[in-house]
Amino acid sequence: MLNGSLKFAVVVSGAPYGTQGASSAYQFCASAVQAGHKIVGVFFYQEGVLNASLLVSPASDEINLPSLWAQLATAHQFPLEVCVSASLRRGIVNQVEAEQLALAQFNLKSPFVLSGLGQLAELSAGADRLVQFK
Amino acid sequence: MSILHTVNTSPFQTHALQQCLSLLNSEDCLLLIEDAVVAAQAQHPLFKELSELAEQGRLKVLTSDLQARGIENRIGNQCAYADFVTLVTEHTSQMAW
Amino acid sequence: MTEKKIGIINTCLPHGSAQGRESLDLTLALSAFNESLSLFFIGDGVYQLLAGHTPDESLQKHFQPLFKMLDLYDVENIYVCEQSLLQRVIKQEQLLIDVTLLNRAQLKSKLALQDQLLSF
Repeated sequence: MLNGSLKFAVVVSGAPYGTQGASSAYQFCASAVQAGHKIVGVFFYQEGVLNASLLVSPASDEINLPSLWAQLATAHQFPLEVCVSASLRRGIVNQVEAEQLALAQFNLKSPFVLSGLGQLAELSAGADRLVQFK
Repeated sequence: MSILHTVNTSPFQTHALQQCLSLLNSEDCLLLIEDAVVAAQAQHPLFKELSELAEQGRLKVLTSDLQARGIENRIGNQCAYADFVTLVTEHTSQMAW
Repeated sequence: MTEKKIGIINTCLPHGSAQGRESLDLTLALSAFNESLSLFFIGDGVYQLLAGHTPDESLQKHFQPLFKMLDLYDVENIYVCEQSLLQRVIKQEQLLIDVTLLNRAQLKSKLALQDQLLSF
């Protein structure tokens, strides 16, 4: 790791479209890794869980934020943790939950993962800085 | 111990900027992002207080959000996302209003 | 690794948005992992604690009783902005749980002590 490099945990509570917060969070994360810092994980909470939807389908000349998150996280190997209780309330479901809840569909985009708030505690404990975007 | 405060709403729309200023410590820094960048341009009741903060070098304004809105800041230092990242490293914590 | 001091700041009224409820969910969950939580209620956030919420007819979940769990979960640093209460003509006795009232200067110094902040 570079000298002066820090570990960041980022909390996103804004939707991928409709408000700017999630875009700001993405740009912050992209700049942080570019500057040689490490993202220990991004935690999606509240409306932020909608960033994990496989079904987000903007016009071809518009930004697809869920895809950008997926690319950045894959390239820099950090987890995209999505709060399960906030997700289920807003219709973001993975295959396991869909089976348990007898839902016909699931829509969690890879590599986003559903996780509990305990995961936020872990990110917080492992980070030098916690940054929130709403 | 110091806080980087980020405000993302216009002072004409919400009280976030006012609340933030009322709880700002003398070591803290304020970064205006998203809709809040108008606070560095428009004449609003908190402009004078913001100007004083700017004179102390404690007011930053995100350049890309100014540009997005066609606004030129009258006070504060413009900063890019890379500077935003540096600001976070320079402060203990960040508070998103 | 020393435990991070986490400050959770509540600034919104209940029920018009899920901010309050999701803040409380997060607080109760984090309390299982972190014993250094501090809660702050400022501005309209003080209405979260005003006893007597009856949201059933508004089709909202009545989550206010969960604030009583904070004590059981050993979340003891609960700070309320004195000026916000005054502005809203609310007395401390009207609050659902025991809290510490802080003035602006005291709030500022408590906030400065936190390693991480989350606001709702």
